[in-house]
Amino acid sequence: MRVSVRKQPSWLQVLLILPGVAALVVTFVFPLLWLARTSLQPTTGHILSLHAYVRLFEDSFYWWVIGRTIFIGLLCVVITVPMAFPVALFLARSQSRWRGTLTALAIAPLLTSTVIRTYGWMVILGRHGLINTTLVWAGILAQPTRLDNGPFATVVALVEILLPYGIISILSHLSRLDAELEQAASLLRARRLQVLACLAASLPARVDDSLAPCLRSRNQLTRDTSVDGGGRVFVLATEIFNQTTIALDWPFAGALSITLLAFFGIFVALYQRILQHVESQS
Amino acid sequence: MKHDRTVRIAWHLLIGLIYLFLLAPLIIVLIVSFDTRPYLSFPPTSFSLISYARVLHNPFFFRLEKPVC
Repeated sequence: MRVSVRKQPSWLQVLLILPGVAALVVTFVFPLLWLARTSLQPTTGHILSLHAYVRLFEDSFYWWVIGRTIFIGLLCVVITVPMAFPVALFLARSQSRWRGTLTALAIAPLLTSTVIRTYGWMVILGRHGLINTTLVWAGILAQPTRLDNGPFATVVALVEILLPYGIISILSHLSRLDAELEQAASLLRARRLQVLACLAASLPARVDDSLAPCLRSRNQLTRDTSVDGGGRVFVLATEIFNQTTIALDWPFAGALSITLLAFFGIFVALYQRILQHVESQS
Repeated sequence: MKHDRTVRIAWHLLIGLIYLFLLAPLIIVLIVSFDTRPYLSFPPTSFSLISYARVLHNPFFFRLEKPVC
C-alpha cells in the first residue's frame, strides 16, 4: 500500500515546525544561553570574565574529574551495547505472544523513579545485601566487601538505566533491516554465528543513534545515581550539583556544565567522523 | 539437532540473565514491600500486605486538593 505524499508548500512546513522549535528555544536554548552567560559572570567589575574557566583548567582535580567522567561514560556504553544487542535481537525475532509484555518489561526501568531503583540496588549491593550475603555464605569471601558507595555501584546502576535506551534504539534498527539481511545470509549457507556477525556488522550505523542519548542521559543520571556513589564517586555531574547547591558558586558550576557539554559535543562529533570514515572504506 | 538445542537454551539463558539484571532492583523493591519490618532488610522474614493497607488508608494519597501541612 502506497500513500502518495504530495510536496507541501514550504510556508506550511515552517508553520508546522514552529511550535516545536518555539518550545525548544524556550525550554532548552534559553536556559543554555543563560548558563553560558552565568559561567562568564565576573567576581567584580568587568562585564564578562573567564575566571571560572581559568580556575577549572588550572586545577588538576578537575582534570582528574573530567577524565573520570569520560572513563565511566565509555565504560557504561561499552558494557551496555553488548548487553542490549541480544535482547533487541530476541525481541525483534520473537513470535511469542509474550513479545509485547517482554518489550514493556525491557523498558520498565525507565518508567520507575530513580529512588526506587536506587533502593533496590542498595538491597542488592549493600554490606549485608544479597550479593555479599551470598558470597560469604558460599565461602568465597571471609567478610562482606564494599560494593555500594563506589564506582562499581555507579556503573551498575547506570548500565541498568541505559539498557532500555540501548534496547529500544537497536530494536528499531533491527526491525527495519533484519529479516532480509538474515535470510540472505542464511541462503548463502552462513552458520548461525556468521549470521549474527553479519547483523552485528550492520549495527554501527545505528549505534550512534543509541550513543547520543546514552551520553546525554548519562550526565543527568550520574547525578541521580551519585546516591549510590555516596559522594565518593566524583564525576562532573556530581561536581556541578555540589557547586550549585553546596558551594553556591554559580559561575563555576556554569563553567563546569559548559565544559561537560563541550566534551559530549566533541565525543559525538568524533564518533560521527569515525563512522563516516568506516562507511567510506567499506 | 542436539547442538542446535544447546545453543537455543544458552541463548534463552543469556536473555533471561540480562532481564534479571534489568529488573533486579524492581523485583527487590516488590519483595521488600511485603515485609513488615520498618527498616531495610533482605530477605523479608515475614510477608504481609500491611504496607499496602496503610497506603489505602492514607487519605493524602486520595485527596485531590493540596494537603494542609
